[in-house]
Amino acid sequence: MTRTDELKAAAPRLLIGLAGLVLIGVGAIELLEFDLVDLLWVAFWLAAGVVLHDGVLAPATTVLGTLTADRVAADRRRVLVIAAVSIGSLTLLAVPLMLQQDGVTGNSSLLGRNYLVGWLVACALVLLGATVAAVVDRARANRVSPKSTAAR
Amino acid sequence: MTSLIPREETFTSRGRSPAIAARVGIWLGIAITVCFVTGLLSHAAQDLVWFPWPAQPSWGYRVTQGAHVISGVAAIPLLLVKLWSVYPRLFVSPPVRSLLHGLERLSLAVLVASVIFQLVLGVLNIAKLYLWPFDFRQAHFAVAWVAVGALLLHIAVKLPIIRTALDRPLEADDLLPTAAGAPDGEPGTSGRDTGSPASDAHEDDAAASAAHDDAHVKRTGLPRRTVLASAYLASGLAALSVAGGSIPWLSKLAVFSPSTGTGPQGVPINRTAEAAGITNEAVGPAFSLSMVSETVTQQWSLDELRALPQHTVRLPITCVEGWSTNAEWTGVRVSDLLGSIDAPADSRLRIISLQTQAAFGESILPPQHSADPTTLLALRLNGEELVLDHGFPCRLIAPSRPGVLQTKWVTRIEVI
Repeated sequence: MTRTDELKAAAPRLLIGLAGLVLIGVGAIELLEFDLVDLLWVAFWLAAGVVLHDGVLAPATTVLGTLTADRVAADRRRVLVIAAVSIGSLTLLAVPLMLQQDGVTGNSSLLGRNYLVGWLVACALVLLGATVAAVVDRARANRVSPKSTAAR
Repeated sequence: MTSLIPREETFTSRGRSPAIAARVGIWLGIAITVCFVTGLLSHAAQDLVWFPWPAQPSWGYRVTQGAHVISGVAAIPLLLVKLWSVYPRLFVSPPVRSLLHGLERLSLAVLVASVIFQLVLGVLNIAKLYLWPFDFRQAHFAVAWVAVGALLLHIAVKLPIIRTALDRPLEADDLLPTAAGAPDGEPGTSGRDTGSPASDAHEDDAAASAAHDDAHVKRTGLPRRTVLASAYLASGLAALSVAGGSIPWLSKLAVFSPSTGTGPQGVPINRTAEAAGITNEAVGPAFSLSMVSETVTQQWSLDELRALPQHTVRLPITCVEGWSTNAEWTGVRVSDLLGSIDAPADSRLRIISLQTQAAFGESILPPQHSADPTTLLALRLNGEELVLDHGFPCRLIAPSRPGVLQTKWVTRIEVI
């Protein structure tokens, strides 16, 4: 491959990368319009998200995963994981709303749903679906190979 | 203490792989793109007076802003699984191999921080939970550029890995180092070099972590298709939990929509009269509406407005936080009012409210909206006189316009 060929091959990546740098620059210019205190708050929130994710959420899910891996049979764990990802995501979404339950005084049309009940119902439906899936899975596995899967 | 910090090899799950990162990454990229583009459109509709934001179709803003909120919420599970799949890369050793490697890791930190920032603040904004002193819109706008820029940079850097990952079967062993320490033989690359996109964290559940006990996948836990299924299902459910805020027939399922879908006179209220500092005196018998051009000023009392030709239109009101509701509005055409002071129907207007507190006490109405025959100074909503919280005595209602700009308690309109 000649140097020209290499450049040609790399050109799309270079262009995408350059476009990325330009957009970051646009964002940086926008951020420069913030006063220092606001900018520090933005920096705090930028860092807080990463720290909470990398330092709390990710390790917690890893530990949970390891624990269930040791204790739950593989076929059940499949359904469990799918349900857990849904419930975890819905919970993250619901927490701010639950904190604000009836948070806007004098206006029941805004944030006026019962988010706790909504969250419980959503989780219950996910668990119901997971249970049905697990039962179907098990039944299918038993049909195919009555010994190997049913044992666990 | 150091023993508590894992190494990249500590993570043994099959799911933590470029195969997952690339596939989930594509959908995450699509969601972020939709979010970014619709966010820019919303910014243009609100803040860029030169932007020719069309007045028709009347549901235009309803669709773009609904897509903004839905795609943002759908991105949350995708981001979590994506980050989970590449979490081991956070612990790569040595942490920095070269200047270029250091810069790349820095750009990943920027990417992860800015995307999490956007999604978290977006959700907190929906809940009206303002845990910061800065202006939400300004910060959401600025960091959006950084996030998308960092995403493009990330794609540029990882493109070869993404291509390789997508070319190979989903369940194929990949190059990530594992507990067994045996990168599987892709030519010319050590496990170290094959990371997956984003180095930081990633979570979501458990998915996988090691399952030493399954003979079929002894190296690493659950099949990757399970991880993918969990990401897509969670993303769909999250989207569904808010989509009904914008899509009426899904309203009953919208357990996490900020709006109940109804309110006084069948329409939710974002800012109440009390929150806007509207006094009874201001909207009493002394109320008048002024229409002001360079040469003419005309005033109407409420009764005089009622005596003008009335028109009824069906238009949605769309809140930036992700809900919208259709309603039947009755009132005077803004273009008729302009005609009465001999101003062109396509004048640019400043709409001024009686509001004494809170933001959006005035708005700019672009020429295409002023001239649109469905743009009204509404006096009635769903067959009844407006209640105070909906903007009594009169409010603006225009097609395809952010709700915050549908100015309530209008007292003065200036041709500018």
